[in-house]
Amino acid sequence: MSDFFDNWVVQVRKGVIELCILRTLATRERYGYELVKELSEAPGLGLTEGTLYPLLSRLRLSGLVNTRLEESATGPARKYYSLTPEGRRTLKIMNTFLETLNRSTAHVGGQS
Amino acid sequence: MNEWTPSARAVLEQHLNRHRARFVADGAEADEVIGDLRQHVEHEAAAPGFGIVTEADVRRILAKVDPDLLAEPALPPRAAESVAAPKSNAHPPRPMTAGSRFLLWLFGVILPAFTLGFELYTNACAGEIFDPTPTWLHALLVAWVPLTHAAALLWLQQTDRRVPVWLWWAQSAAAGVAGAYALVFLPLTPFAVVGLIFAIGFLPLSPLIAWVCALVLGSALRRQAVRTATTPPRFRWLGGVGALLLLVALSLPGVFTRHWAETAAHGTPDESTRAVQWLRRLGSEEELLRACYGQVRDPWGELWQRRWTSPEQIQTVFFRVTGQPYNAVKPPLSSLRGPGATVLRDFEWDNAVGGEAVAGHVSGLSLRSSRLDAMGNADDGWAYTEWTLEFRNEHERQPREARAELQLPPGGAVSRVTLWVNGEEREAAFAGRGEVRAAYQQVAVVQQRDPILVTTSGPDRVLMQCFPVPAGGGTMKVRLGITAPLAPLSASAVAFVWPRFAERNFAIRDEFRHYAWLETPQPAVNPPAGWNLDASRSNALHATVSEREAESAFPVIQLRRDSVAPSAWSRDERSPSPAWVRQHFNALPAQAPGRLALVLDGGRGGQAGFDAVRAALQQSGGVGELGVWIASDGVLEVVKTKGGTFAEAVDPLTRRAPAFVGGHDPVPALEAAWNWAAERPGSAVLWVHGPLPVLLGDLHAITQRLERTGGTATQLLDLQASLGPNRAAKEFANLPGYHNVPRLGSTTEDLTRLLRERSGTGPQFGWQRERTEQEPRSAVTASRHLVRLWALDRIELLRRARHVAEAVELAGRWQLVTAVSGAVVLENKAQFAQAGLTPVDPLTTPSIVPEPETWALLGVGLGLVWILVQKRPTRICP
Repeated sequence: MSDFFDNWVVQVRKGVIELCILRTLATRERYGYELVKELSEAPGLGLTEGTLYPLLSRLRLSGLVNTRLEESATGPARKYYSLTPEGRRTLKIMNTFLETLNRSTAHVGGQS
Repeated sequence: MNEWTPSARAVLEQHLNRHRARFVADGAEADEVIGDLRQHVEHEAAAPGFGIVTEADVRRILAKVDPDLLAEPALPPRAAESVAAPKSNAHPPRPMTAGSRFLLWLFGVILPAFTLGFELYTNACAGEIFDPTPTWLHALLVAWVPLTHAAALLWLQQTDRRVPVWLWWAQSAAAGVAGAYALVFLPLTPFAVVGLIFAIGFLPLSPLIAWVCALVLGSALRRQAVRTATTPPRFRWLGGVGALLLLVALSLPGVFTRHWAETAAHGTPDESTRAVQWLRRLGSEEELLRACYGQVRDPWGELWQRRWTSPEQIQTVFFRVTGQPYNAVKPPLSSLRGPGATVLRDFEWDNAVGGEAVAGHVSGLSLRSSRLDAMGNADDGWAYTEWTLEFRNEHERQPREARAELQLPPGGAVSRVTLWVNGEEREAAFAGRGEVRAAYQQVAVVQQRDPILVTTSGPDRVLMQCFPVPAGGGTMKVRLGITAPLAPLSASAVAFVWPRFAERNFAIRDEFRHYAWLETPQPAVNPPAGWNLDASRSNALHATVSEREAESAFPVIQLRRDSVAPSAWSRDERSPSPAWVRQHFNALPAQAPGRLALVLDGGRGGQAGFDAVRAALQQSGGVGELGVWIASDGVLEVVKTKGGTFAEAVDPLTRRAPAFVGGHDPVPALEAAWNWAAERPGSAVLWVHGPLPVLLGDLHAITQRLERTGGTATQLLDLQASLGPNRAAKEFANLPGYHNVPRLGSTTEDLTRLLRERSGTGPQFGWQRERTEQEPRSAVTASRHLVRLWALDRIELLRRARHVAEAVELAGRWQLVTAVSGAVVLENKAQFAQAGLTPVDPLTTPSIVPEPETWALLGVGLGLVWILVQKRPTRICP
């Protein structure tokens, strides 16, 4: 693969990682380790913990994600992440936009 | 959890903290991300297979988590350093040192706790500057600071203990409270810094120091959170904001009270009235009361003050709001909580020393004993009362001036003033009003020696002031002699009236007792209940009257008078030429029927007078043109009758009864009533009211009418329904046409008698005194008090004719306190000589026993009888 493609992949991933996080949390709240494991196993995303935690922190600071601590019987306290109402609204808008984008890219250049 | 080697922990922290700048650059919170990653690594290391976690294990896990974490950060080192904690690049945040912990315990816990306890115990700040804990909720909020700091310090003792959520909020609130108090105490900081020399400066600096400690502890908690991989609540600063909002909410009554008081004092008449109405509904009376004494209750209220409002202006507002004089309420210092509040009283000054106002109560000063001895003669129409008072000052350091306005019997005057100096009686010098006051101020205020001053203070009132009542339980004993006519009730009865306190600056305990004794040759018509007759003395009545009962239990005593008693004579022995004073008892001519305009007090003190007026209108049977006005927040015109019975006014008066709240300016209502009354000759304005401790408006509208008409047209009759100050009467007292209605019974009885007299349905009697140089044919029988009463009449005539010097000379000759003269007792002859005054000869003063000259006359008489008996021819029995 060329460098050009590698860069392009990085750019695309950057654009969709937040969406993936929000989508994962939309079903139910997850604690950090669980979330990382789930997302890092998703093919193509190439997500590492070192990338994910800063993103989670940023989403929390943006008010899209909430956190809470819960003591765990098996180890240290778990930090649970969930979507805020604002996060849900944002996710809806992002989904709508992505569908529009998919449709548009499908029609660009005469492909259908 | 597995065991970690120290180097493994160090490596982890080193790698994580290296990327702090990257996390920040990504828009994340570095501490949070590092904490999350640390937890993630710990989670991985906790998996089975790890025994002791080593450096190599950490590197392996980090490589799996994110290989970038093992690499050098992409950002330039300078940028990385700028966001990294100075000592946290390679190591986790260090726990607090023992030295820091000690300082935080000392300045963050012990100092604020001690300051709060000191304030609650001594009220030092509350008494002198403002009250930092005006409510218990304020005290709890202040206590919150050292309590939270103590909890935080205890928590931080274990460096790996997670900071609980409640501690974040509590710490934030403590920082908010400490910050708010630091702001309030900021103006005191320069003085406090100077005060550090004496250690006392730590107290006002305590809020500022506590606030700094709160910030340091907040930082320590954040470091603990990093170490323990916890995230502080994102909006924890709301705890501080909440504490501030609570303080603001608590201060709202003070803020609004200050604002409305300012508007009431400085606003337009409409704004002022509205502000007073708001104060009545929602204002803080305690805040107003403290402002009356120049003190601040709530510092937060003070922050919003826009205009300087003097204590005198606030005193006026206080009366308008509450309807009672500020000095009739317990002073604010007396309500301070702490038992050590007495310490404060060392610094409580009395700014009215030597002045002409009674002013507010001073702490420590009280009446120790009160004894009234009276004698009189109903046929001759005079009475003499000696009131012996002893004051005691419990204040530890401040000598006090005892001041009181005394309500004298109608038409009475002070004719003797005595002060005990070192157990010896010293009599007063009587001289011009200005001379005696100047002498008093020189000796009392400048030299701090022992004088007493008595001057008139409105109709039938005197102001008595004596200084100093020594501190530390010292006492001061004085005696006032009062000569007064006996007020005629009918042809066969006269009234004896006791003097009383109208206003005072000292305390009288509720259980305090006055000892009263009255002797007259004539018996009482109806001996009052609770009064005892003493068989050893003819017609002696005596009682002990508690202060609580004083107003009702000091009744007017009606004495039987011989309706055909001849005129009384007394020799004027102090006249350069021989002269005598003769007194007649006359029925006075009926008054010209004119309009009667009633002005009633719609304020708090007006209820008693209002009820009495309704009863008197019903009972009097009076007929004539009657108008009624009520002085309220405005002028309320109730009714104007056209000549029917007075009883016709009762219904409209009942329907339009005011709420009787606050205190009101009577002048607009007096003006309206006067304008209506003055349309007919021989009219009168009868003003029935409660105490008027302050002047709320300009009196010129009334004083001008009285002066211009010279008392020949409309009269102003002033009837005060309950005891208390009357500032307007002081202004009106010496004007023609102004009459103080004598209080000879209940308000209803006095009003009924007055209404009957006004409508010509009730007879009027009075004493008429005249001086003659022609020797009377009958024997001179009456007391020298008769001459004193004549002298009072004469002095008033001379004053009105502007012959002041002659009036002062006559007052001095007969030792009388009048509108032109006063009495002062100084400590020694040198002080009298320095003031150009001469004390009276004790043999010339009136006394409760027959006066010296009377004894001499009796002696001469007895001698003559003896001589006659000796010269009689001896009869020889057959």
